[in-house]
Amino acid sequence: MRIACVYAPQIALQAVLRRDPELSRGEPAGSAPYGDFGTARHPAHPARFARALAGGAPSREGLGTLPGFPGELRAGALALADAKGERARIVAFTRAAHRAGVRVGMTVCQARAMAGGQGKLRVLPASPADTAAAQAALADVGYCFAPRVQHEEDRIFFEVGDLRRLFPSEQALAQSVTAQAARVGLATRVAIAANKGVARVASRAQDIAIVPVGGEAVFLAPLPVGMALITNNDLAARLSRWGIRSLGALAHLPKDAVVLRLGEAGARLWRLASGCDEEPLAPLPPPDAIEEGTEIDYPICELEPLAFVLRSLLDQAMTRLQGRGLGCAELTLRFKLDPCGFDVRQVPLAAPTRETSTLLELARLALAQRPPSAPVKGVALLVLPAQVRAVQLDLLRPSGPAPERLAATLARLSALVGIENLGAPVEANSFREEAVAVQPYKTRPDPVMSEPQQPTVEGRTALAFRRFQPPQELEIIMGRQGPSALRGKATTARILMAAGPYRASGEWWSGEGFSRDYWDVHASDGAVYRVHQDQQSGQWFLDGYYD
Amino acid sequence: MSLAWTPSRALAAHLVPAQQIERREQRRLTTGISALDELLGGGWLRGALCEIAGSRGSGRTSVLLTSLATALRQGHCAALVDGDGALDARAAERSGVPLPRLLWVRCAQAEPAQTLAAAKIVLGAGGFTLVAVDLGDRMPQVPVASWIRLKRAAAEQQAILLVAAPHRIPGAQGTSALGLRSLRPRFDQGKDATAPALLRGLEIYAQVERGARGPASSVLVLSHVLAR
Repeated sequence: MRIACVYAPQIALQAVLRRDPELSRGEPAGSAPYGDFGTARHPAHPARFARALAGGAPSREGLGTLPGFPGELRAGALALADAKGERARIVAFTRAAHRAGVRVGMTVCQARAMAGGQGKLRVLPASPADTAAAQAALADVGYCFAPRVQHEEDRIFFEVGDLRRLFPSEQALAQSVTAQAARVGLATRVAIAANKGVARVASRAQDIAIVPVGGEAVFLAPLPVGMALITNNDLAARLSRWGIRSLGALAHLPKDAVVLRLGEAGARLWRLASGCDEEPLAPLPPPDAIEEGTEIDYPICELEPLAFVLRSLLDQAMTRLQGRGLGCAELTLRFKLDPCGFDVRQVPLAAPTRETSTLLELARLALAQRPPSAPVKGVALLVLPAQVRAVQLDLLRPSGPAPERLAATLARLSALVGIENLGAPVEANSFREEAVAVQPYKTRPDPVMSEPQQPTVEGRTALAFRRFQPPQELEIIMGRQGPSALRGKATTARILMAAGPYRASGEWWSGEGFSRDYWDVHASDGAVYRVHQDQQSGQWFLDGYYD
Repeated sequence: MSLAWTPSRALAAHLVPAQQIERREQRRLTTGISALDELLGGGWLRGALCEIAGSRGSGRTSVLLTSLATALRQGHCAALVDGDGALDARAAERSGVPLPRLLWVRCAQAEPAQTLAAAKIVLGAGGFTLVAVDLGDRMPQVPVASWIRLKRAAAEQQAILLVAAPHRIPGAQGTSALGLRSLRPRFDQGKDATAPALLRGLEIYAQVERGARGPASSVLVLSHVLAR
């Protein structure tokens, strides 16, 4: 079994940069060695970037020997604090901030003093919502390649299995995973190995690491012991005192002696250094919904800035859906209000779609109709994914619109005219003539249509009727033979000929009964109108005209 | 002995290659009314902007619904962009429209820009053979550029953009235009003079005002029948 490990270093920092890409578009804080990486507008050549990474960036406290990621390097001196305010503690920082002397556990005030002033270090509050969204996005990267994925805090594992049939090599697979992660805004490192432990260590060592079968011990031998130890610092310190600095040196020690002195943790580490790991893979199926969220620094009162935030979230969510080949079937918005409370609302969708502009338009319409009752200080959106249904085309009939394109079209139309005004017309379950309902549109609701009905019979065509919605109030002058003149908003004319009355009544059992006398009248303006008199109120109405 | 057959000169003048016949049929969509098809040279031209112009009671809705019914019954996808919300589902069903297969976009009244935007979205989806736009009883002021864009979209998708309005609105942008006018209604009194009269139909006058054969090429009287 081959297992892939996808590792997103400093995911809390990446989450912030992913939500606000402008942060990572500034020039690097220092000139060397980070000047080699270029900027977002003028990125350095990949080989140059790799050389710079391999050259060994300075190690920093709390972050091991990780070389960082391009977005971090471009962000300059940036630190994350666990809360707002000057007394909050620093929890993460970029390499430039580390060079300036910033360390984990400092207060914001201390960190700024170390960096040399207010303008030299940018401090942002860590956002749990952003971090959770970044972790979910990382998991989605795995679900783009495998049906079941095990996800940890900042890394995921999945079985490579039959993916080797789809990709020419494991290297190509790893590159594809990295590219997919980049699409959702994450810089990742990928390792493929025979077991989870080796894959985990390898992912910390190289951007893309393919550990050959049987070559685990050889691969791990030059790596420092600290790479295999994430939390157990005591063990690392004891090994360091013994002069054991590489995993290869540890693997050469007798196993019994290591177990005797270091206990179970030491035995596990020795087995890992030898290339063995029994930790089972515990993958999970994908979640039912995709969630993206963010906290806003200052409460938003207006629709335009809120739409700006929503666009960013929708972009990320749709990119994640696209990787899995799914569409958005339901969209739920949840606003965190200032000072307290939530506003949750569902955006109606006509059909699954992945078009951000369409979804944003629908969300804007929903917000414009009913704005949040208080300023918004946090936004989260929940996307329910759905498979866009494949349609079997007919050999004998013309092909209609592509299902996915049709779905996007329906969503755009519903954003334009409202979902209640879009679909296939259907006779409503009512005795009222004007009752009409709309049902969801499908291009091919039945597999085979009945034989073509001929609307033309002996050169004659069924007469159509145009209906005023709602019926217009009308004044009618009655003569001996029936209505003789009409006056209303649509027309004022003499009546040349009247046919009727035809009485219609119903729905008396529901308490909203009606009783009407209908007339077809030929007016002097040339049209034939259909009018009715409500028997309860005596009021006349103009239903429409024959056309 | 050669098996090759050479038609006579008189016969050869009437022969048409089979490929051309097929192409010609594919380029036209029948209106569902044989007399109108004759007027229009086989039906509505695909990839073109076609017009039905007629005032109240002229039968433009009947022609529109019959064309939609024919397209849907032939297996094509069709949409009705209803600028007035005036569609009567029962009347459409009587005209033969398979309602579950008709995409109905009901636009807000007095907003022609929304109607045209909806038509453009439907055309952009591709796959709709007939997109009918009912502009209602009004005479909206539509910029020529809008019609040019719609015409181009229809040409790209090889769709028919059928616009129904009281008067010809697209003007020079329309490839073919059918003008309709009401002549007289038909009422039936029946044998019993005391019984109420029944509306039996309308007689209308149809004229091709613009088309490949030239304007005012023919005149036709159609009789509509009310199905009760």
